[in-house]
Amino acid sequence: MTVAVANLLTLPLGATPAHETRESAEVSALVAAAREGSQEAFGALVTLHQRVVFRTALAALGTREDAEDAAQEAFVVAWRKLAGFRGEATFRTWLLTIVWRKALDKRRARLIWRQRTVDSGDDTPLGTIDQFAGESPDPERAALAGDLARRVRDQIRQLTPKLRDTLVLAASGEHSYDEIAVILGIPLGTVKWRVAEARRIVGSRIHER
Amino acid sequence: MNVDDLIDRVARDLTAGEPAAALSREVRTRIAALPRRRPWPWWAAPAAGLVAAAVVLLAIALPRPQSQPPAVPRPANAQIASGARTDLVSTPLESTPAAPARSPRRPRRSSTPAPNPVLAAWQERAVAALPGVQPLVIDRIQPLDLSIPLMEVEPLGTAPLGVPAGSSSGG
Repeated sequence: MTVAVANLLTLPLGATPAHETRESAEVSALVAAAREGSQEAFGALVTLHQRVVFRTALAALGTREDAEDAAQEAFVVAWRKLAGFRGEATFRTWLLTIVWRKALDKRRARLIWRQRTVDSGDDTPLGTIDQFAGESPDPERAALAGDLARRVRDQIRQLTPKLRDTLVLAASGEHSYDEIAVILGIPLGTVKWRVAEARRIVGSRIHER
Repeated sequence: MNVDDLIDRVARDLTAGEPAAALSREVRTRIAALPRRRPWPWWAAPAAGLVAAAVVLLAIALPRPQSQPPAVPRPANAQIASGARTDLVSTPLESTPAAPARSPRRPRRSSTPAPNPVLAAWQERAVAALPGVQPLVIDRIQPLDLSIPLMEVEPLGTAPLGVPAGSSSGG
């Protein structure tokens, strides 16, 4: 094992890098070592990517428990299929593609998201959007803002899966549009259209109330 | 804050959170529990395909074993029974109509095919060939010319009927 890999194995938990448009040399070294069978190197890769993997699964599944299960399964599958990783995409994107498929399988099996009935039960007229900031000391405004946030959340959950997944992935702050396109297996233009369409639908619906 | 910012903020909250601290440990435990098996390299699948294609090509190129020929009734020949074996008859595989026909699409590449055990066994129990049969000489039957003497027919001489006088009957 190289010195660089050995140093990386001592990375503290949560030292997750931000967007990786290009595979860093350290990650590449860890991937190479893991492909040679180093479980320690793969463990370091797990530590580096566990947050983004977990959040990606959470975007598809909606619950922490299911997201953690999907994340675990995705890491195990990645370990098994690591020899098939040829570096055509970054390790991160390859890993996120795996976890996304795992999450979709789990979602199909349990129908988690679609079976959720969302009923805000509130016909309060919409106030100004700025009230959502919740920074106002006015309790009434704060309540309105909270109610508005709940309605927006409910409308997001009632979107079609394609629009909702794309919007949530884009809004999570973890992925670039290019990465979302690879994860979902759709063109970049489709990603942009879906995000815009999802925002338009949610905005129009909350204005209708 | 406009609507899009609000939507993005709410959507971001849907994925907010950190994984459990045990996630990494759980993954390591599961990986360690897996049997140590060297994963298939990426070239394994193409290599397997090439091997399979080579096997198929070899199967096509090699001569195919011929099927067992149908039983041919042994002819009751007096000369064979007496031991007048002169030569072996030609293999019935080629003369029997029921022999499998060769496919015209698969010509045999090898000019000297490997000895066929089935064919050898057949030749081993083959019957002796009949000796050459003398061609029959048959005299042509030529009927003799009919010599029929012409019959001479003499002309009939008829005397004119005469009625003698006075010999009329009184009857």
